[in-house]
Amino acid sequence: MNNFKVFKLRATIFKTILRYKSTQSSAEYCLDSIKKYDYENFLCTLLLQNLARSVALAVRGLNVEISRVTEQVSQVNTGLMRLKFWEEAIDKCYLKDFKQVPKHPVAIELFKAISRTNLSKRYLKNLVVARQNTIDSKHFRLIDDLEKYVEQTVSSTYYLILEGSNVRNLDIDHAASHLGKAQGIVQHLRSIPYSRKLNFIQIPEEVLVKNRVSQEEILRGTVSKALTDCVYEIASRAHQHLQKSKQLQMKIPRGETKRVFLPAIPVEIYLDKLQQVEYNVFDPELQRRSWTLLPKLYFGIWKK
Amino acid sequence: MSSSLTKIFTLSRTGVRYVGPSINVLSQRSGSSNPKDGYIYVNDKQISMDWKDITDRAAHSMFVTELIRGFGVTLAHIFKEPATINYPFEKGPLSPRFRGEHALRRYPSGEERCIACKLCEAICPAQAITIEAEERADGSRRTTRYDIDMTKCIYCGFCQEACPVDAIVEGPNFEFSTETHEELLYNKEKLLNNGDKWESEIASNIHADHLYR
Repeated sequence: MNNFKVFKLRATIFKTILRYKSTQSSAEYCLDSIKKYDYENFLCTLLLQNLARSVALAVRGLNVEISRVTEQVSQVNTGLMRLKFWEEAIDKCYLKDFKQVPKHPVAIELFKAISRTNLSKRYLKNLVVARQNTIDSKHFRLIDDLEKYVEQTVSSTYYLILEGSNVRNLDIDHAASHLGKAQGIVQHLRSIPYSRKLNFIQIPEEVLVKNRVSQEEILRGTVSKALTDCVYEIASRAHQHLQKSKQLQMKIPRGETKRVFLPAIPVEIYLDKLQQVEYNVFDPELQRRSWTLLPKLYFGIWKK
Repeated sequence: MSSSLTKIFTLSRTGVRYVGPSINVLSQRSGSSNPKDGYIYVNDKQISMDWKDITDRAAHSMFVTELIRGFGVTLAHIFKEPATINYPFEKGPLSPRFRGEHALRRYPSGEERCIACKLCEAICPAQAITIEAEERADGSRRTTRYDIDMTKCIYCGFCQEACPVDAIVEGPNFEFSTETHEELLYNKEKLLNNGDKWESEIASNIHADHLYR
């Protein structure tokens, strides 16, 4: 009797999932939003395979939704409300009851991913909590604060994708952590030209004070030797993480797991470009998409 | 003619007398070219009321120079680009962050976005939003009633900021005046229709290579 009930429940869950699946909306919605707001990771997600891809889709979709909250709201409390919604949505996804899940495409994808694989809640929560903690801050004080933040927001996505592809290996996680840090720091460097729009100073206070740069200069977008020094310092930190991650990736056998580390390629492209323009983050060349990105990513799959 | 001019002349003389000595002092100051004690007289100089000057001015304004100049200005304006637009057919530029008429959006699949979390209702400072929700047969929570009193709304945009699923938005439409108050009490149907009507304008075409935060 009990068995039958469970079966019936499963059947209804399956049916509702199927209904959402039949319209193809939830996965497509995630893909669309990642394509719009996180193009490079979108490409890397497409190159993943099977389960890893669908998990990556859900995780990256969630990350897009959460990371955009801060720029969309004008009041701290409004932002906290939205983040709370996502925090609760994550909790509800773990209840194994599709009825409870809010019918947002990202939440549905997340529910699917969680019911198929063993994602740890801690990392998902990290994505939200890190944003909650920094929502009312206008800058980071120390460069380590920045690192900690990107470790929570970017590296966590890699941990989750690795979990989604059933890889549990300390070395691989270590490599993912460094890659996440490198990518996160690069993300912050790239958004310096938008700092006025975002009302956020990406360069940590510590570095600014050391090089005697005022926050006003960054908001106004004035290029100076001192600012390039700041950028150089942070970029070299990102570079260190990238190199470390590459070293650790040597131990990983070729195959599916390697594909998770594809975002290292756009990070490297950006850092190279930054070096070419002599660490001037406002250079318009940096905002342009590189045509070499696609072929590099594609050949990156087979590269040793 | 001459008698009237004398009248004006005498009037201005008496005027000076009424205003009193202050004008005299001023005119003395304005007369001297180099500033004494650091002050410079910057006001308009008093016009001279000599018989000769008055006739000169009268002649000047009567003769054609002013007229010709006036025609010149008119002619110049013919060739200038008009500062106005042909309003109901042409419209001025709008900021992408413009907050106009409300709309409820749908997903591309046609399913409505709103999940009845009531965050917009909670945050609305004018308490213009009323929501009632119910569970549907398939278990998803949806609104049965979504009313906005557009006459209460102050267009602060908090509802669209608070919405975690980007369902309620303030679109670019600002032409929704009505003849009666009742027509401005929007219900869900009207809002969803707005959403369908304005979707292409609302869905902004942003492409970014990376996330910002």
